[in-house]
Amino acid sequence: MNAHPPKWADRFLAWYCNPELLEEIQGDAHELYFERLQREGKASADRKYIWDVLRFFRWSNIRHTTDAFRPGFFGILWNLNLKIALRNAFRHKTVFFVKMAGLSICLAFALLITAFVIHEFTFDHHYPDHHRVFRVGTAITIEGVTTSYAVSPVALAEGLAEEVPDVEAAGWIMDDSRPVFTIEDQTFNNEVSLITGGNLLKVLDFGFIRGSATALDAPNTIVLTASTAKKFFGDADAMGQTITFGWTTLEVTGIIKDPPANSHLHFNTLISGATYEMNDGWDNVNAYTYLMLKEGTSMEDVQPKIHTSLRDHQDDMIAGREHWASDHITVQPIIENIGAIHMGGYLDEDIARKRERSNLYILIAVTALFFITGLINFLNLSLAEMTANLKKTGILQVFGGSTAGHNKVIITNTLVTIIVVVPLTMLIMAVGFVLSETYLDIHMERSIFMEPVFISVAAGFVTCFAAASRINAFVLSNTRDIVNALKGKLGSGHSGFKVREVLVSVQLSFSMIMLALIAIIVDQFSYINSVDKGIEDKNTIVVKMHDGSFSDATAFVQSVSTLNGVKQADVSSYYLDNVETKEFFEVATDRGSTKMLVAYMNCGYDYLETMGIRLVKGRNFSREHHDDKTTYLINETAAKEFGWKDPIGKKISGPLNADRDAGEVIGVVRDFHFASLHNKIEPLIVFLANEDWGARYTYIKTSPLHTNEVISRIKTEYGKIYPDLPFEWEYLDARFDHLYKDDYEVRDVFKAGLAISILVSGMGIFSISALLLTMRKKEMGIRKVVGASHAQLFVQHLRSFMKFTLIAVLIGWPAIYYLSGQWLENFAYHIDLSPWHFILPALTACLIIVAASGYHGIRSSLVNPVDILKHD
Amino acid sequence: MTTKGNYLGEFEELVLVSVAALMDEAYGVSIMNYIATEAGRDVNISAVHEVLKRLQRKGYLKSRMGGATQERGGRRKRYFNLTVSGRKNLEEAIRTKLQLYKQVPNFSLKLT
Repeated sequence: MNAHPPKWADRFLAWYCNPELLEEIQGDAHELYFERLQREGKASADRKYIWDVLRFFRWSNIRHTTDAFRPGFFGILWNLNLKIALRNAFRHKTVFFVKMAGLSICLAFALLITAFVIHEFTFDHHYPDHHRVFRVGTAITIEGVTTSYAVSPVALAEGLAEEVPDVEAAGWIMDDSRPVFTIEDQTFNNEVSLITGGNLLKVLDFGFIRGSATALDAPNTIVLTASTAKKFFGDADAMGQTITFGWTTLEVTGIIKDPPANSHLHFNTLISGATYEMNDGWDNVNAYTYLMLKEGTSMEDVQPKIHTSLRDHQDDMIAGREHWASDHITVQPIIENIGAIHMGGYLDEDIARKRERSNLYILIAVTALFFITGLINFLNLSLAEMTANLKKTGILQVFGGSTAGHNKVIITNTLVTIIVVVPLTMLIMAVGFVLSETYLDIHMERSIFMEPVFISVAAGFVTCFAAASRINAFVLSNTRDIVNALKGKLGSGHSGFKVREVLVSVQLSFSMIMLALIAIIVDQFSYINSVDKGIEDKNTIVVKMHDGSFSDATAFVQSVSTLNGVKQADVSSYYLDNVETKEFFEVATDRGSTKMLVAYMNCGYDYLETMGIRLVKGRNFSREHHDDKTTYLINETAAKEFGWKDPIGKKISGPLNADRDAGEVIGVVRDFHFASLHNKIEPLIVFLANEDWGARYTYIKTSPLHTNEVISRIKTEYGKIYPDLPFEWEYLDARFDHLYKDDYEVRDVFKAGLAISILVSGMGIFSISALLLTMRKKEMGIRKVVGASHAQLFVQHLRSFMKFTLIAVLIGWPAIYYLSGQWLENFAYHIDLSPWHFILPALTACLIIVAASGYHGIRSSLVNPVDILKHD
Repeated sequence: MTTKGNYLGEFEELVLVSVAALMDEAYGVSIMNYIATEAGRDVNISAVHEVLKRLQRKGYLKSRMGGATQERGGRRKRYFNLTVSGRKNLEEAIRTKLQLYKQVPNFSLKLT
């Protein structure tokens, strides 16, 4: 019998066919084949054989056949596995709870941070055409010193729309901060208003609920956000209503959606620019210019054209600023895609809310950390459980249970976990979301949770989890060694335990890293709070003077100074954290006279004393010296920068009036921080406030007692001078705190994270030690019989855990060094890492281990050896 | 899968009769050949298998594995026999048909 049916067909049959049916089917097929071979020849027989094989390929014949033919077999298996899984859960309630809660908490935390990170990365993505919307700022270079501004000339938008054909539409925004609106005797002064011009509503699609993009074309028109409309007019229709606004009345011509939480612009109203009588020329460099490119054009091609346009109008820009020698000035555009503004570099006079990229990267690292911690904890615990069930697995295998069957046990367990964990995670996330909104003041759009990115991250987590569950299957594959399994041991070499040791150590090292980072962050902030800023910001109230009139402000200072509870007060034209305005000064250095761009501020006679700014050399401004109107104070950094060993008497001439041109330096003040500690102290020039330079803020030092009464007294005085204007004030230290809002958010996330990570790794070690104890019960018993004391046994137990600490330290220390270094680099003034930042977390890790495993250690050492040894 | 009561399909009936006729020699290929020669119907072996499985599930057939034979490459045959309920059902089905057939008026018979 040389002939044989086509081999591949035969093999195909053997592959798909249910093994139980194979013999019968293959037999019949072969019988037919040989019959045909003799009657019809090989070709026909082959063909018909192939046809038969194909015809046999039907649902009821293929592998994994329906339960119809083998009734209930698989059904029973699955039911059985489910039953085992649930029974295990009920029997080991604590372990089950620890497992599920640990995983859910970690997952929820990781997902919440993911949502936050996505929220940060999707800033301004709500504009339909955000990829072709850009903001144009200006970089102005004067004699080699470049200052980057978020603002650009008011006329730029119109100029670009006319001169650059690739620009579809352009418009601008100016900040009107918080003007006063009056509606039927009701006054509102807390609404952020933006002045708009050009085709802004075409560029930025705010989403009109009522009205259209032409709403602000006419003067005296205003567009309200939905919530502001409700605030102003209640449930009545706001459209067409009028609002009294300073010199005129505004008509509501549109209602737009509230800007989402991830918008770089935050405002309540938009007012048409035509309402204002303002300078709309090139020399008014105060506008935020937005433009939209035509579809299909790339910014790379358009950028040179914008540059040309700016350069062509450079002379118009600096018109009226004679001290800016035009041949020493270059102006370049700073073009940012609207989606990149939030994470973009620092720009002067920016109204956008910014976020440090590095902070977000730290958060991403934390997310990964949390996910991995949760996963490891879960793996450890299920591995522990399975090891405890080794005997059962062994017996199953003796009776012919297959690896596939064992895998089904694992899959069932995984499924049960997912069914429990997913809703639990969602619940924790919901709670966490509300808590972070209430307590951490972190606002996110709910739609983030429906973003494809978020959903895929969440799905990725679940997939990772499912995949990681397979690790257990690998580890337990050693249980093919049935004899050992029956003895309740893992396969040779205890490789399962090795994997677990590494996992626990990694987890412990994560807790260490979190602990160290939080300690460093807290230290850094207490450093910031304690560092000598050079000013006394406690109990200092800053009041905004609305029109900046020097005489009004002086009158206010005089009346306030006499109040009970007020120690001292004086004016300054600049807000302390806001002295970013620089001007061009001519300074006589050793190398000769140079022009330099220097930050400046002006203030009253008593300002230094009010703020506790100390003099290092020379004298303060004095009412006795009439020529102090033309003298200057500088800070230490300025003295160093200018190369002046003895600065007193040196000459500075600046952009002041002609009669102030050559002023004498009369004193040097100690460096003080007028910005966040993220930035370095820069040179500063101080001169006396006068009628020409105005005084926009009054600084009032109060006594720490009865502050509320003092503030209401100050408010009364304010009302006497400005009867119609709202009283706007804040505490200076609170203002300083605000500078670190971004960092505080990260710190708070870390604080929450620390608690969770210690909790989870503690839970992990607790349950691992319980397992280890079960495995070494007999050993402990024998040791005791042979004469080991309780203490010795306890130490023995602890010692087996101490190597975890060692591994954790090896992983943790370099990570701490690297991560904290990255973060601290953001601060110009920061703490140095001390050894304690490394030793303390390691000690804590030891403590966690002793606390979590000690309970079992004590229990194991106290147990009566007879109880253990009599088994089997 | 639910059984469809006692109803027998046309091809099921044919296979059942063949199994009964072949006595102890009824297995896949022999049934197929029997149907081909006696009823003149060429059917595919897989169809026969399918019906055999179904009849067995309904409880009309029982099977046993026979001895190995040379022409099958040493593979055993699965032999089928009618069960009591199978025989009853077959008889019932044929009786019903005959009864119905008897009621057919004579003239129509003549026409054929």
